[in-house]
Amino acid sequence: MNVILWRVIGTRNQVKVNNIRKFLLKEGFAHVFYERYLWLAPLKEIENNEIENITKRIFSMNKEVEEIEIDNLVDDENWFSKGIVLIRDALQYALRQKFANNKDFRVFSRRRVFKNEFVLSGMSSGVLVGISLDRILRVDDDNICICPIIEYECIDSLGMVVEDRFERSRFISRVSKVNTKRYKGVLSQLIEHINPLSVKFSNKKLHFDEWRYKIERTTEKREKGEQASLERWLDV
Amino acid sequence: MFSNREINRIKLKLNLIKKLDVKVPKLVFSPTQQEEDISPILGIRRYGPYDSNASVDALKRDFKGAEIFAFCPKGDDRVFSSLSRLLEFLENGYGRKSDYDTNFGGFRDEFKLEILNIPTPDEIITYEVGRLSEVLSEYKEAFNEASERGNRPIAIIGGLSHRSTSARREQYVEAKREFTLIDVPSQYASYYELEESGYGILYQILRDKPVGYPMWNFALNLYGKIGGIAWIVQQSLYDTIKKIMDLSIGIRFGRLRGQRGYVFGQATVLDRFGRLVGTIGRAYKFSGMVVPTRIMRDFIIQAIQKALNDPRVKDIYNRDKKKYLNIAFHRLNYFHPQEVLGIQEGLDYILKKMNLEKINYSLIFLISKRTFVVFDEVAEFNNPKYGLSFSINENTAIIHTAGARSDKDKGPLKYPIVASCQNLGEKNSVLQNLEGLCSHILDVSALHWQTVIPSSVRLPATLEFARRIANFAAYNIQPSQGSLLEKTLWFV
Repeated sequence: MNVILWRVIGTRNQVKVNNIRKFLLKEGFAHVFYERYLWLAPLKEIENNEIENITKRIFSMNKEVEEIEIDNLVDDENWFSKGIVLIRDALQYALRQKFANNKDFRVFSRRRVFKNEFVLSGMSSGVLVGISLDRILRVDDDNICICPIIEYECIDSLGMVVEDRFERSRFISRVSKVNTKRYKGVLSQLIEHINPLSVKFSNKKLHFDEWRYKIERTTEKREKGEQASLERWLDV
Repeated sequence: MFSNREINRIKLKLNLIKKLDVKVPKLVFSPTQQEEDISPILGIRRYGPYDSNASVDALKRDFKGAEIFAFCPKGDDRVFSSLSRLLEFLENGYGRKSDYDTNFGGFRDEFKLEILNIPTPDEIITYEVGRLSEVLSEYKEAFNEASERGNRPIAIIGGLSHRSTSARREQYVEAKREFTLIDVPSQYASYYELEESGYGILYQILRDKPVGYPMWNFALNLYGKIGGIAWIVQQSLYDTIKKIMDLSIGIRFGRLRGQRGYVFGQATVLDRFGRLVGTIGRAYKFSGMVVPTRIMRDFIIQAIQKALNDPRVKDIYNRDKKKYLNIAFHRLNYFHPQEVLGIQEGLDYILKKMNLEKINYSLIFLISKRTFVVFDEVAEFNNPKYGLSFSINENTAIIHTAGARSDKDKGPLKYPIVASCQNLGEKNSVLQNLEGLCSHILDVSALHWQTVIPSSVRLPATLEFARRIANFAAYNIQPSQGSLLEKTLWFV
């Protein structure tokens, strides 16, 4: 998975904008600070001098921008230092783009998408059901996948997350204990609105469309483990 | 401490994803037991707890019975009356009320105790919250006398605190601290009322809800706290019964409350029968994400020495004249090379000091965070079965340490855990294949002794216990070194 990144000399402490992640995602860039560099990956088509302009706004000064080709973003060396953070940004951006004008869904931080409808309502708060796409794993030597799971969130009448942890968990536990079949149904319905999900990632395009991996259930022939008597076991 | 990052460490290898043939653990209640698969309630009822049947001295129960002392904060009639009924159920048993309920035949009969002293309501000791220690000083003699009679004293404290909320936590913390200080095990019984509902066994009793299973769990906790062993799980390895995991050591680190830069380390050691043989807890100062080599080395030496010096372990090792040891290290994080070096140095020291010939060890890191969901298309409600395991790469598997007992199970979804053995198949590793890793993790996960509901606890006992002990340590609650409590499940 070779990918082109832009590298700028600069550290987090030198940044002059507030909430740089929010700022860069709004501008369509994934970023990570690693060692003494800022690494950028555009998540949209960019103009010739756009990277220079962005870095100037970030650091309030002109910075030299270098184009670096990374051989494999998912190898150990690049994945932990840069890959995982950039991919997370790319996914968050893709989800925000996809649901930008969709009133039926809300995109939360950490790649979570919630259906804008209470599955349980209380006096002053309710529970939303959603999906988390925050578990990003590497597949073989050149690919990635997302392990989607269902999440619940407790929201008050103003649309804010309820802060009282006890109240939240009490509400959520009333709807979250479902069997796997029901879970699969809810997950399928939510994923139908998300997949296919694609986003430009510098010179590449990330594309997610499948969400299940089938493993054949072989016959349930389980060899009985030989059990040692306690005495034999003691003498081992 | 660093568990979120561990998920990103996983690499799937598509050609290695397959179902594994894994040995599901057998809960053993008696050396003569024939059944392969028996639930805790049925096992205890049919055979009694394991230590009441053991033929080997090292495993036999060393007390006759239990003497219960009941305590209740002054001024709350609800707690007092529900506590009185709880004591009555413990004494005389409880009859099931609905389909999802069960009978409980009383603590003495179900757990085959010779003696059980339970206070009558007028013997319940009341105290002012915040002044429990004053009351306890009057009862120290009574606790000692109970021990001299060959019984174990245990306190049941009713109160308005509940583990799920911080409201009135001081009641719980005070009770735990004061009883632990005088080496008396204690069991808290909660009454926590909300506007429309409530929590805790006392709340359930007062509202006449079905409490058969909660009563069983309560009694199981009492039994573990007086030092009883309800069941054991043979820690024999998958590929050969000749090989035993002699020690399983769970290591957890967490930030110490209110002290920046300090980390609290907790190691929990289980022996080859799955018995808790010791815990080591220490505060260390270090920064960054990795435990320094020297700290890890000292920590490992302390934990293993403590286990090998335990009289119950020593007896068996002297008898066998053992010259080698098999050890599993469990952790919720990847073992960094610097930490591995610390473990190796610690083991080298033990090897020389204890005059052993060889120590094999396996480094296992586990991820408990919800990551994978498995749908069993054949099962009626798609619930994967307990024990179902898959390999996902050369040394990593996903394991259903909690799961369905049959294809018709309609219970809630249970997430598998992820286990990775960093030195799987290497010359010095106890574990040589993924089937062995899964079987070992399932074995250690069946040792929770906290609930009678089978296959419902996800993490191995080593890590579950370490977490609970570390939580108490954050409140400065720890049994004194060499205390009888150290040999019991005082923390469950």
